[in-house]
Amino acid sequence: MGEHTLLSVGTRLLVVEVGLAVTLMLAVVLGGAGTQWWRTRRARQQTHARDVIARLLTSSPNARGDLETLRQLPFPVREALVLEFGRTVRGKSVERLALVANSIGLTARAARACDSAFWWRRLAGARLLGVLDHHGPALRTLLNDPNPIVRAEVLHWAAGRADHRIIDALVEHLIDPARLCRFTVRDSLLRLGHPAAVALENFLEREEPSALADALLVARGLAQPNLLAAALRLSRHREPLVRARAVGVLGALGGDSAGVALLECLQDDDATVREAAARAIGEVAHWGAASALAERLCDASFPVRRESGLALRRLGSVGLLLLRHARSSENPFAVDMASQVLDLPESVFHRMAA
Amino acid sequence: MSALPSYLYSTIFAQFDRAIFAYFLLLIAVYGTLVAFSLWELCLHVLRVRGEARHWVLGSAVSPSISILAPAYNEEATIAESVTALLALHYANLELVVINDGSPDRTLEVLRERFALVPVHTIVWRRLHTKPVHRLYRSTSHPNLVVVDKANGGKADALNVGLNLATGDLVCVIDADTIVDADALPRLARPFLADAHTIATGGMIRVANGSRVSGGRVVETAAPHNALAGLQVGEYLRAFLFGRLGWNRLGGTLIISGAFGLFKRESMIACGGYTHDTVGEDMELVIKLRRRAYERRERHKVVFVPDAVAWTEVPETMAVLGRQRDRWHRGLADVLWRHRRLIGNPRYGAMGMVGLPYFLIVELLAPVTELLGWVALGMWVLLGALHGEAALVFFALAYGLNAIHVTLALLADELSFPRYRRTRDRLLVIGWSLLETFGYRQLTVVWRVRGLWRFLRGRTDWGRMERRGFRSPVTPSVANVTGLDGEALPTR
Repeated sequence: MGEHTLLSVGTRLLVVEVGLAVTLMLAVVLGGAGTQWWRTRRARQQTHARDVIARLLTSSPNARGDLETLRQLPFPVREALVLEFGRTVRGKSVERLALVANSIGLTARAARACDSAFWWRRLAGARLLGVLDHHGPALRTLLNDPNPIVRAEVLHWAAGRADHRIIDALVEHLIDPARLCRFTVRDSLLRLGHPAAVALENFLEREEPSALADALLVARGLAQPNLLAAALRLSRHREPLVRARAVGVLGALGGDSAGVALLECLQDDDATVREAAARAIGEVAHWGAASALAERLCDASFPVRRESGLALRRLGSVGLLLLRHARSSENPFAVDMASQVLDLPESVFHRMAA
Repeated sequence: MSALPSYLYSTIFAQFDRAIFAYFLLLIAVYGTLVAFSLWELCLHVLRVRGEARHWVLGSAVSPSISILAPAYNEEATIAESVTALLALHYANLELVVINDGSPDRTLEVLRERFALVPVHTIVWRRLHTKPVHRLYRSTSHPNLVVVDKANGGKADALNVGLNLATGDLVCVIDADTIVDADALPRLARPFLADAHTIATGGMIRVANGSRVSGGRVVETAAPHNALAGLQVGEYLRAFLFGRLGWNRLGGTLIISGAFGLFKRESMIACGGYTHDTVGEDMELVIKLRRRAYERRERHKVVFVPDAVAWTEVPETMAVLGRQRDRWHRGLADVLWRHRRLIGNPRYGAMGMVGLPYFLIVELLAPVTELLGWVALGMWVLLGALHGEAALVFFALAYGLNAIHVTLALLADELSFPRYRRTRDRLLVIGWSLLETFGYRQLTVVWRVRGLWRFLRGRTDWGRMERRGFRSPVTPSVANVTGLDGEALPTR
């Protein structure tokens, strides 16, 4: 290529470049100003519409007129408002909000979005129907959506449904390949509370250690008596993580059999299990384990020593006596930990022990 | 030189021309790829988070706990406000560890008075080797606040002490003077919930100069009127929005800013925490984390999160800015030298084959190439060999590309998570960005080449950093003499 050709190509490129740069700059300034104008307008519309929805949720004397006002708003404004209200209201108000959403065509549109081929549309649909506590099949089918973000959104919605089929489906998602879904399921099962305990008990019969560890975290939060047998059995599981989590469940449940198992676990070979056992003993305030805890103040593992010290303090006068005694121990680890635990301000101690 | 025959001159010039032109084309290709991936990633991110309910993560009993590590050195003027703001961040299971790195001023006294600190028996689980810890304090008014007083040892040492003390599943590293948006933590934690292989996430660092700060939060965003600060706004936007976001798709970024990043605590400790004797400790940590994962054949992810925002005060004087850029480039050179065996090594996957070669060729050598270009230009002018028209077109092309790059970053910012509310601020930022090529860019080239030269001569100090401070715009406060000024590292 000759020098002139290069120069001519360069000059043409320059013209294109200048055009592009100017366009982009205009887009930044005009786009920014336009967006700002649109936001201000939308904020104004929302302020008015909030009053309208609030009236409709109580008892509007002019419901038809109010619904008509809402219908005239752009879809994104209606969607944003329903999402906003849906996340703040509960009980009867949610039912009324669902009726309002249905009347202004939002529910049907969201249900259609749930069938979309695009995941972000399904996600938007699921979010809207989720806050409206929708009962239809649109959300149930999304429980097995290929996209984990959509699935997680629906699993979150499922926390509000005490329906056995949904609870069983929820528990099955404890082995979901996506971490986001596993996290959401744990959260949803904890929110569900008691109704989830039976399905969880059945799930704990399984053998996959990672699924068991997740399920035991939920079991600890639920603390239902029907989970005791499974927790006792799993406190002897071959996997240390499962044993440690099972010990956590025992700490939440308490009782004589749990106390005996916890004392056994305090002598476990694995430090994480001993740590969990020390904490659990503190939680159930198992006085009989006080001297065993005092011995653990000399443990080779720092977390075990720390949890033992905190557990002793939780035991009250007996534990405090042993902690004070440990301050004059020959073992420097026990002296250090006992001194630190005794020095902790009350508020800090409660936070650490919680 | 005059003894050389003229054909040799022309051959040398022609080869040099070609080399510079090839490098120019390489830069365009690399930046073009990064921009394309960034825009794609930004679109997906906006779709993901639109209408998301963050209270769900915040209120969950199974959310991971976070320990914030805030090293402080000579921060008596701002520490109380900074700590109050950090304690008020929106995250339920939060612990704050403030590490006083042997400040000679009243930093510790201010903390003791303001947060009702009481000393507790000092024992620390020393999983990482550090300088001695003098005293450990707990707050009676804020149970989740831990303050540790230690012998001065620099930022890396202070952070390692914090790591020894932290109890959270995740550790958030920030500078004591960084202003973090109230809802930034749940946003930054999101990738850890989404993928078990996430080992680190980094947030967006924005320039706080010019904005109104109150109660430890940026309450009104505005473009800076100071020229040097204004010139850095576009630079930061480009570096974070295009530089780092694009790497999410290219195998993960290699830099998580020391000013605001979230890490898995156990992974940090397992790789030995921060390295003491480097000025690029934030990049070094990420490379160490990833190196360990590759060597153990573990899947891992390092993610940049564009909507988790922290604000920093950028230098407003040439001297301070020069020292900062010099140190950043020294840090980059040092880290690349330490991990030189990884460069181009297929064992280290995308990091060895793409990330590190990029940092070597594009980031480290760019100022050298640019300086050579300017020197050659001078020589050609002196020798009368310059083709004026061609040089002008070439310069204009390079300038135009830079303008497009930065304007595209502004546009992407404006359409995704906009911060500037007024048209005046947008115009100001565009204006500063257009001026970048005239003088400022050349200065940064000189500072960066100086950094490289100093690295080759073995210099490892941090240099003196001066900040005006957010609370006292009139009285300048001097901070971070020994190096706790770990602001963001915005390579392009």
